[in-house]
Amino acid sequence: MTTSLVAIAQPPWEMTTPATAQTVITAILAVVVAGFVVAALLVWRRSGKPDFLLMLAGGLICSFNEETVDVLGHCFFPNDGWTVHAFFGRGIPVWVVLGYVIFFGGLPYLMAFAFQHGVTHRIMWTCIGIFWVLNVALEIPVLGTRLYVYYGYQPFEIGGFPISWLVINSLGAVFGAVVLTRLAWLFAGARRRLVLFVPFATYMSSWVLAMPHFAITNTDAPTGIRMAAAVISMVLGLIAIDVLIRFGTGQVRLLPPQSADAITHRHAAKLNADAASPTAVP
Amino acid sequence: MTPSALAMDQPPWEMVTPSTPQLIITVILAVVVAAFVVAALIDWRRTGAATFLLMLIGGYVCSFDEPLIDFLCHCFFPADGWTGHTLFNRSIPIWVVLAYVVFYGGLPYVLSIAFKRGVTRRVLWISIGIWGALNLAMEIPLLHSKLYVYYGDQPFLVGGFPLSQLVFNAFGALLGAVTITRLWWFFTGARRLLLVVVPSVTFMSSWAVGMPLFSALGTDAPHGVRVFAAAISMALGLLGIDTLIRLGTGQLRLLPPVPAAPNAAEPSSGADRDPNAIGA
Repeated sequence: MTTSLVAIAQPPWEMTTPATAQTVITAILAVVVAGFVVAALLVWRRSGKPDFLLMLAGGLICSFNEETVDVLGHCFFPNDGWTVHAFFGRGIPVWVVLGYVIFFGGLPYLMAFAFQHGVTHRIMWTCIGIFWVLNVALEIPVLGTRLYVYYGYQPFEIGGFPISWLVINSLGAVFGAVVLTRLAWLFAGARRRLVLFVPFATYMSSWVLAMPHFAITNTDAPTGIRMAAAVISMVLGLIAIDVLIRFGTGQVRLLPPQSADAITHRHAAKLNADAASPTAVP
Repeated sequence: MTPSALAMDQPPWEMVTPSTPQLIITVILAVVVAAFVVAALIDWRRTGAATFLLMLIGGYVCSFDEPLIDFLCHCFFPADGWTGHTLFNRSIPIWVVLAYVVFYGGLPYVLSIAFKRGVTRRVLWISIGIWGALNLAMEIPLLHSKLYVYYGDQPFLVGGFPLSQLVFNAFGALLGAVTITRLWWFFTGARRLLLVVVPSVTFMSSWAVGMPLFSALGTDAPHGVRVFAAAISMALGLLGIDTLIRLGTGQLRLLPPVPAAPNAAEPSSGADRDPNAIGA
């Protein structure tokens, strides 16, 4: 068996953080996170459940994934900025951690809320499309300020932003939302605290589908192979997002046949009984 | 928050492969894999289902996870040996690929059979203990022969082998076993082919519990911090293993509670609820 060519592109270690851009993006994201936290506290007070707040904290914990995914996907933040944590030689700035709270904490919670309130498959895909447009609109200017960079040869780049990341990021967020939705009954009582780890575990797990792209990125394979690997990962990711949306909306349920029948039967019986009740609203 | 110092131990790139140990371990594992393949073919003929064989193939696919986990846990195989594949600048020898077929393909399948035949939690924990002892007995001599190395400051080393790896390896294999046990009804028909990605997906997902340790290894944190991180990861892993065993034996079921049959005249006996289901 022949081996792939051995190579790993090095990050631009000498890159420095532009001070003004860092201040601006940190302030913006801090305001957004503050808004999410206030909303989470209000939801807690209204519903008696701290799930929203736990998910935001989970987004913070999830930010510890960033170093690993940066190594895999060849993203680099200069190490001289306002760094919150660092390993594998990669410092992660405050603004990225705030971004995680929003995109892997707050956003999955909102998606879970939408699932629980009957959002349709079509609307969910529309929302994801809007998210992608906003993601590109945000990342391209930020990349333009040299706050960070996707280094080495990256397939399907737009303004320095590899669009495969749209799929990778949204897959992780949707996965977290579906776990929160479909296992809502599990995260009750003392187990509610496990919600803290949902964003971390689901985002990391979702990288499996990105591995064709990540693996080839870390060789010096020619352009065609890199593009093919990126396409494979994007296609797998899009299929997974669609399947996850179907799980989230309840269109597909991961239940063994007997349990599915039992639950369907019981739900139908309950609906019939409710409808027949003298107090039922027509 | 003060950032950890930026540092990353470098592998001993100059390390070379000892030819005799490489030959011996490759032959041994090739024989074991051959036996597994024969068993899988017989199982296919007998049952009409290619599950065992698909899992062995899945073990091979899972071997492509090894370069990345090597990067995370600071394991290194010299690049001048009989290499199966190379990613992330890490070459993986053929014998390691064969080991993946055994440990992440064959072993999860055997565990799933045990689950289906009613193995108890106690017996499984004893088996894991025996497996751990055998794992140590195998890896320490291999490490001593310099076929590979765990480099950098590794916590809880025994003969060059970090004990935390016992937990992570067992957790990864068990997660695969429980997945194919509890979702057997899903992996039918055309979906049976998805079994080839189960080992890879479950092994990679299992690394989440190892991340406290992997993160600490990727810094120049002092030994005490590394030990603490390893303890956290091992505790999470052991808790995960116990939960998986309970899921595999059916002691725990990941099923939503079934709403009781509505009957105004008679209170529900609760018999329709699965007493072992979480949330029931």
